[in-house]
Amino acid sequence: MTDADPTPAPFPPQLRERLPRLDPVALESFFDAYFDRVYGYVRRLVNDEQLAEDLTQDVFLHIQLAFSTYDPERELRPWVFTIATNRVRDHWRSHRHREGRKDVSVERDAALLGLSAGEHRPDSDLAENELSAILRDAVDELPEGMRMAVLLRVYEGLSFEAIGEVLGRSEVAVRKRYSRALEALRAALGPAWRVHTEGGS
Amino acid sequence: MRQTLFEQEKKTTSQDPEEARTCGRLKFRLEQKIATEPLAPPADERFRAALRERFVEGTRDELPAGPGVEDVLDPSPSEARKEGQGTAWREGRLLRLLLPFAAAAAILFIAFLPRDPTWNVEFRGDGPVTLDGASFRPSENRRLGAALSRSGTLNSGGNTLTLRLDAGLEVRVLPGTQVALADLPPLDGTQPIFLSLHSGEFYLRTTPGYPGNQIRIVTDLGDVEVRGTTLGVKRGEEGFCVCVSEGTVGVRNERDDQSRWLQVEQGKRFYIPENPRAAAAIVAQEPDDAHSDGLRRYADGTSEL
Repeated sequence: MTDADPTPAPFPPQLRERLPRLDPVALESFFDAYFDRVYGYVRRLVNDEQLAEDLTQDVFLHIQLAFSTYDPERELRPWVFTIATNRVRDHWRSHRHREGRKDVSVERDAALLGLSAGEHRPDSDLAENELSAILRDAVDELPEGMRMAVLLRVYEGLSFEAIGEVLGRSEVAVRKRYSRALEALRAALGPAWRVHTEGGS
Repeated sequence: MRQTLFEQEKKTTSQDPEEARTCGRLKFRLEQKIATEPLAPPADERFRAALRERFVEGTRDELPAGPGVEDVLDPSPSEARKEGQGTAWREGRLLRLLLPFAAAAAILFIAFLPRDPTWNVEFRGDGPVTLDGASFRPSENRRLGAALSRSGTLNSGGNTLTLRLDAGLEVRVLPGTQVALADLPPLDGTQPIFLSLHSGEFYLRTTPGYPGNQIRIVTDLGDVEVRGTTLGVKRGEEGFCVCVSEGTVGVRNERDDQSRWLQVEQGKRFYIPENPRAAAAIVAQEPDDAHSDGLRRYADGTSEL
């Protein structure tokens, strides 16, 4: 789920074939390959640790049940993230998630930044941190569909076609949605991004 | 009015290739910047370990020998005597007198211990049925019932099976059905009971006294959520169908990009065709077909078993 690896390695096909048989080795490898990515995706969408744990557990339980109908010829990533996306959407349909979102967002920001009051940082680090904070907030403020498209594209490296499969949209619609999302992010970053790009080029 | 970089990109793409390349690079750098940010804080290690164990171990056919199994298997008295512990039996008549009372107390204690819920199975047909490849004959219905309380995929073969929980849940699995059952949770109204229907059909009903555990039926085309009702679910070659005989259930079409839950009321059915290009999923009156007819007979108790 980290920065340096936007396109995680594909799950080995020979293990993929063993998943419908619920082969323990394949299941272990699957879990190790997908847990952080699914948890990170879900957590970023719901912005709450406890809720993310509940939903992640629900996703893996659903996956476990659905393996018997999984076609090993089919690519695993869109299949997994379709299930995760549907579980999160299920949750969003309930009213609970609207409550307290702001509080958990603040909590999450503090956790992500790892900053405490009065901590001294050099100016360049501070600017970079500010840009990161603005960017994180901007991603979190995107409409749900755009946010999903950005997370799946940037962190999972899914093709637009695969994202379309996950979100139930056409490839063209996803491309448009993704472009609009980047445009919105650039607008939100404003001069800070301009300074960042000019400074780096 | 502020002009965003993306607007600049749109304007320049078809005009100046060099500018277009610059904007492409800027877009790439924005993606790169997002990617360098952590997706989310890492998960709690205890949560991860517990879920991993449940995910991997929960699917194994054999129950792992849990801790303390060896402790329960005390040596028999005959073995104890062989080991020269005969003196233990001579320790007095008091012990021998107390032994029957202790045994009776132990039996009573065991009889009233809370038990894990177990399916009672009734067969109609000559069998066999399979559970995760293991074969069960009609005479082995108790063994099958015990095995069903753990996760497994049941193939009814040419038989009709009626699975009952004492807590007030009954599932009638029709011939030619393949359905996966997850581990049975405690029947206390908290955790859901999962059934994953791969193919075929079953009818399900709850009776008064059912503790209210939600029942979730999962298929590749749609899901059903039930709390207390009588319904039939079919996953056939032509699609997925839910018929409701009593009460109301929630259904969801997996192809629906909004993943909306719909209510299907008594006397109605929900249908998702196999072919995605065919008519959209519909809620309609129950059709007069074999599935709904069988459900009617099941609900009014006129079908066999």
